Amino acid sequence: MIHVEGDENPEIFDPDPEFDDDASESGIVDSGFDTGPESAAGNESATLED
Amino acid sequence: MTTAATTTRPVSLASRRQVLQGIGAAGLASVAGCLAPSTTASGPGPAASVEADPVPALDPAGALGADRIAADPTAIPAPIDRDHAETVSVELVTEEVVAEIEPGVTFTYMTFNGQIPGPLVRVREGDTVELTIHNHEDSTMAHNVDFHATRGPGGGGEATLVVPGETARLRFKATYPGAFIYHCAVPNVDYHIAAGMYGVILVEPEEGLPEVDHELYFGQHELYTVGDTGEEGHHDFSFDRMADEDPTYVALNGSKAAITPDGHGSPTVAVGDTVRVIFGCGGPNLPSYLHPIGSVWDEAWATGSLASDPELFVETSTVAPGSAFVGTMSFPVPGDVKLVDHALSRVA
Repeated sequence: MIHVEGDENPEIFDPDPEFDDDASESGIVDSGFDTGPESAAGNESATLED
Repeated sequence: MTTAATTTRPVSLASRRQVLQGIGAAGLASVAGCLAPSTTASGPGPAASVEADPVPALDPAGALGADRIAADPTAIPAPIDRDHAETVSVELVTEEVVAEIEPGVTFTYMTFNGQIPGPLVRVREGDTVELTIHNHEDSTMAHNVDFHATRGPGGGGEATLVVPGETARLRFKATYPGAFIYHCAVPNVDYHIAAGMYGVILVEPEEGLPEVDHELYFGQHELYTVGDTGEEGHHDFSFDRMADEDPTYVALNGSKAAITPDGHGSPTVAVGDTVRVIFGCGGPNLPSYLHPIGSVWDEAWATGSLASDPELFVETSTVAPGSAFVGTMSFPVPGDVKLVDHALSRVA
């Protein structure tokens, strides 16, 4: 292991970022799949009701 | 890194006949009387049995012959700053040392100069190397050295075969640049390498190497032992596990977590610094998929071929057993960069 000491350089690496909601473009293509907490909760609820 | 369910673990000291068969005709006169292993082996560690009985438990950890076996990655010669060839003296001592793989786990290492990897030998293309190799009086086996940086029978192995207490000399010219492995090459060469007998010779090109702020030296090899990974006690060598290429440990600089805060500490550099890493894969069987977690290799000479152009911005380099790597890194942000074999299940 190599330990690197010095000042943070958030332009290169920022472990605690604030995102700009107005970012101009997406780096990925939306898959269209149902993902995320809201979708998962819905599936769970449906299973229980069944 | 699985372990055998049942282990036959006596230490068998081979008969003189087995030793001579193992060494071969060329070395008969030189090694008569030396000890060599059969199935499992131990050097100057705990007392050995000659009966082959299944023994489920290990012997207690051996008395340590050294506090550390891991080479200090910063303890290497400075870059060469001259424009002409010279004669360079290199002295190697082969030593068999009981040391810890990790706390409470001992092993009888075989080493060059008591460290793993062996000392970095640094010369310039065109230099003449005058090598003296001495086999320590307390050794139990014959040793020698094969330099991949030279052309000649056995890379010098035949000329440098030494029994305990013996000294040999070899002169060779470093006619081509690069980073090259050297290793012990007596019969059972894989055993001797797996016990720690490898290092790197760096032959700088005539024009030298680009300037960097720091240089670091590491090596990887496998340890094949009787007993489970982490099982406390003295681990004898396991030829069966080596034949199966099933190591107990895959170690950077000879022991577990050696160059980390939990081991002997980590080198520290500053943001903006540049580092050149010189890395040897001793093997004897497994390549290293060398990756710096949290960075990439800005330049990578995966085979140590410094006469070739480097690859740029390489994430993981395959370093074959019996081969050396040179790579540079820069550090735009603070934190830790962990050098790993990215065959991550090997991490012991």
